[in-house]
Amino acid sequence: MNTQKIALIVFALAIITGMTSVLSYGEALTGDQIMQRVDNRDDGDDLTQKIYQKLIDRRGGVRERFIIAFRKDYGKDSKSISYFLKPANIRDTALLTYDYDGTARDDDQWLYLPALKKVRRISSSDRGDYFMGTDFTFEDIKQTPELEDYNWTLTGSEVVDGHDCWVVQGVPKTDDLKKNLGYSKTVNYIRKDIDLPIRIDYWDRKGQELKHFYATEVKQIQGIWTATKMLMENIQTGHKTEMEFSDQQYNTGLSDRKFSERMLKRGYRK
Amino acid sequence: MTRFMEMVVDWPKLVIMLVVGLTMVIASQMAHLKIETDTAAFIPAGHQATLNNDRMKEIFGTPDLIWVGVVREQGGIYQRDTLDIIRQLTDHIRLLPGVVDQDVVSIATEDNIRGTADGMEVEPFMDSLPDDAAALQSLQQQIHDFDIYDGFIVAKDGSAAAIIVKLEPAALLARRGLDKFKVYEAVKHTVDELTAGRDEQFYVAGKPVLEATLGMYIAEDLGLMMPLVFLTLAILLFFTYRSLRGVVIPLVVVTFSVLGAMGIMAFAGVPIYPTTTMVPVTLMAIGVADAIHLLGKYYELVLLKPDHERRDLVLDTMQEMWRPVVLTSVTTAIGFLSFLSMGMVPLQMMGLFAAVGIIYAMMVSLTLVPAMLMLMTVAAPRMLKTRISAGQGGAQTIQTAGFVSCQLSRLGLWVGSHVTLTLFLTSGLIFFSAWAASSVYVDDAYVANFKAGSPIVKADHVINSHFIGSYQYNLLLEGGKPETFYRPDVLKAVWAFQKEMESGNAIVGGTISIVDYIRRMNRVMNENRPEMARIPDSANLIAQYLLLYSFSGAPDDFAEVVDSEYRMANIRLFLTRGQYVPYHKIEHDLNTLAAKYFDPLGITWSIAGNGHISYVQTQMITDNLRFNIIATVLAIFLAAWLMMRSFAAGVFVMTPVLAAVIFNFAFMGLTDTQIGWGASMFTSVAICIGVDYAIHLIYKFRSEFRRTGVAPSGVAGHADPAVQALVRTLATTGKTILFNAVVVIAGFMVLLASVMPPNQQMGLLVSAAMLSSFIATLTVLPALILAARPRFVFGDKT
Repeated sequence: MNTQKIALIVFALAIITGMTSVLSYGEALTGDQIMQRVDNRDDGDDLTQKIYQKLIDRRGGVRERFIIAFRKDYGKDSKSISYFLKPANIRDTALLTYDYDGTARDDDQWLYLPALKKVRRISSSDRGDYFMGTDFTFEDIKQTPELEDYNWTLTGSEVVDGHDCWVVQGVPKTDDLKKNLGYSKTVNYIRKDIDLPIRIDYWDRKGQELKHFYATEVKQIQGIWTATKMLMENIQTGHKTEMEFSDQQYNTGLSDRKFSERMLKRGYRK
Repeated sequence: MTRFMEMVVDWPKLVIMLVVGLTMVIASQMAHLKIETDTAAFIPAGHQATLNNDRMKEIFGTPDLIWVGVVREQGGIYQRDTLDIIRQLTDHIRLLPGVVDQDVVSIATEDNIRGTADGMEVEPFMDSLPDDAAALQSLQQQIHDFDIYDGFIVAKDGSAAAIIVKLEPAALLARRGLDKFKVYEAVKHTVDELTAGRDEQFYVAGKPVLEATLGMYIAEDLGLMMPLVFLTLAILLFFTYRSLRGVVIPLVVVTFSVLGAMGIMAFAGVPIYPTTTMVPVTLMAIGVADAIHLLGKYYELVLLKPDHERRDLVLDTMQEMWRPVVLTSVTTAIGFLSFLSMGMVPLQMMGLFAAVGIIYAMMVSLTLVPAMLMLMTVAAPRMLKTRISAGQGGAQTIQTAGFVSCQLSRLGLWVGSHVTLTLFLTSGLIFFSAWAASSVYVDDAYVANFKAGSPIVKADHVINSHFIGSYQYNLLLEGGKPETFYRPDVLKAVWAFQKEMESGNAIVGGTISIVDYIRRMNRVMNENRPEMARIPDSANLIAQYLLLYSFSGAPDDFAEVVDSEYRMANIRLFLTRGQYVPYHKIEHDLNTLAAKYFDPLGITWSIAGNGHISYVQTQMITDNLRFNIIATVLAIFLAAWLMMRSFAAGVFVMTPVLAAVIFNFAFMGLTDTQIGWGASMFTSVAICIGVDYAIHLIYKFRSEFRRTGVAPSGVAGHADPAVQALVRTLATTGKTILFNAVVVIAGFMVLLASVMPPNQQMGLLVSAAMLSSFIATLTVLPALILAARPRFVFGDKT
């Protein structure tokens, strides 16, 4: 085979490759691809932050909690430990969570109750259970939903709060999933520039609108886009939850020892 | 008035068109009528019980629960197929519109909180259906160990399971185009559909079910029964008068007055309350009278003056009758208007629209009736005519025309000759009645409104005998500061209160408060040792338990028992009976125990719940009854006094009415009828009917006396012109009153065939009211008049 033939073949391949990419134009991202991008978004390998939770009932009654939380990723899994700072009657209560990717293995959770001076294992919760009396379910509080449990459809683009967003609808694949999650549908508004959902609407199993989620403040911290204020509002019960995150520190190299039962009991020290 | 009557008589077609047109316009409004069955509507908006209840609903949500009971007598519910149907039912009901999905409670929804060596397990009682005997046994044990659920979602003996369905608040339901009744129907439908041909029995009960269905069923049943009553009236009227006119005229008056009253009610935007369903009934009973009296007079004149022109006959009839018609109508209306003095809107509306209907009936009687008579040929019942043609003409005609008149003439003669004896006899009857009436007491039960043995009563019984109870009381507690209900001393008081209410009252099937959950948590966190099911001594520990709980609970999991700041708490008491009398002790205990446990802690408390609302409602209605009887009688007395311009007339009108009331109460005593809202109203109806009779009788007697008094003729075997007048009065007006009574009594007796006890009771009580008034008017009143010889009847001569 002479060089010329090789050059011709290479040229032909180049043409084919080029035409292939030309002819595959125009298919914008699919819903699945967008949600995959959301899932792949950089959220650091570990994170330390303060969390302020404000639970507001229908009549305006308020409960507040201050928490300091640490998280470390282990591949797709992660571990986190949170210490309650306020109110006084739950000070030093601490929660340790081992969060496993996928739904095959239940997460592990331990809670330390200082008044009892004992660590108690908490049985895993259903994904549709509410998290610490907030309006977030365990599923909502995770960074992204389990992508394979939903059929994702891109329904269009919309401008939300001045940001160009994809609108992706998620429908749980089976009735069992709908029952577990408590949702029949979610509509996610995802900022195209940073792949971050800034608004999510939820519909309950009966197809009635249930909750609205808003990322009310988004900041870039150490180069990582972070929602620093969130609001989840149940429009059926009128109950809502505000969360504020502050003092974020990404990638400080938290040690594995931090996420142990011993540290749970020892409590948070500066 | 004469001019007016002449106009009516000269333009009969125009009058008919106007009256019919006006009534049709008003009646067309009836399409807008709405039904209001909520018990709370009886209680004035500003009443403490309403305020407490509204506050409870606002803070802790609507406590309306529908109970679905699954009973399996053979071997209990711990069998795989029964558990399976419970799970299916639960799943389907949760998805019904108007049902709060997360708040449906059954063995298929609830989680068991179990202690383990290293912590706590929270998992569904039934993750999957148990498939062997050991698993079934273990499930039974778990439920039995969890005292909140034992007796709540499964009967303590394991023979039945409940699915407890919470409804969305009324406002939200309304926005979805639903109401309690529709949700109940949907639940019932789901149950019927899924359970066809199964071994278990299925029941649907609960206060919202009773409340929603009662008004509906009463109205529906009335809709079925009233045409029957109407038909019976028509048949009886026909046999009485043997002529079309005798049927048509009274029924037209009644129909128009009902259409008028209900149309005006719709126009005013007033909903139909259970009380106002009685308005048509009352108008039927009373409205017939005007027309019958007009007809009676007309026939009397036709017989007495066979040679008169039609126009003269009609005019003479109206001339003589318009006064008593106006007088009776106005007096009766005023009697009903006295209902306005009662503080309860549904009762006020009943009185108001009965009065409106009566005035409407009066208007129709004075216009439509003469106009119709003008368009008909002159005629009297053939029976009467035959007698006249047989030669019994003249002044004696009336007394002897017909068997009834004959007998009534004899009664008149007898009473006239034995005034003293009559008075003694009636006094005796009244004394006896007083004795019989003394056994009447106040009681009211929601289920008693339904037919014994009907599905709803059966369901109520089954649910309340297997579970902790479908009726609720609530004690609202309010501490000054947030987190009051973390305090062990406060929680211990709550627990002691619950225990004492339960042990002291057999009908309190169970109580639920935040304490039950805290005790459970403490037990679970202490290796599940039964003795640890108590309130911890540290407020911090309680706060931490609740935080722990929040890891698996919804944000509003305890929303029914404590507010989110733990400043206020709600103790829910479940009762197995919804009846007034046993609630006396419940109310008493709630007040004394709440004062004993919570006053020293500086915690304010108030009583709420649908049980309390029913109690207060019954109490108010019956408290009002006493006042209402007095007010109605006084109103009538004043009206008669002013309109007849004689104090004595007022007294004489009032007396037979009082006798009628006493007879009516005696009747209730003898038939073991308790005073509930239905029965209490019919006392006033009896009063108003009695007034009609008395006024007609007095008027007729006066005119007869003035006629015969001038020229005593010694007819009917008695020399006293007063007795003669009485004889003639009874033979004519007495007969009309008798006809009226017989027709209405027979018509309303049809209601005894109704399936709804309140409607049966109504049939009985209206009949009793007619009978009491009839007896009192024909005996007591004449005897009194003859004995006292009042000047307003006899003029100045004695």
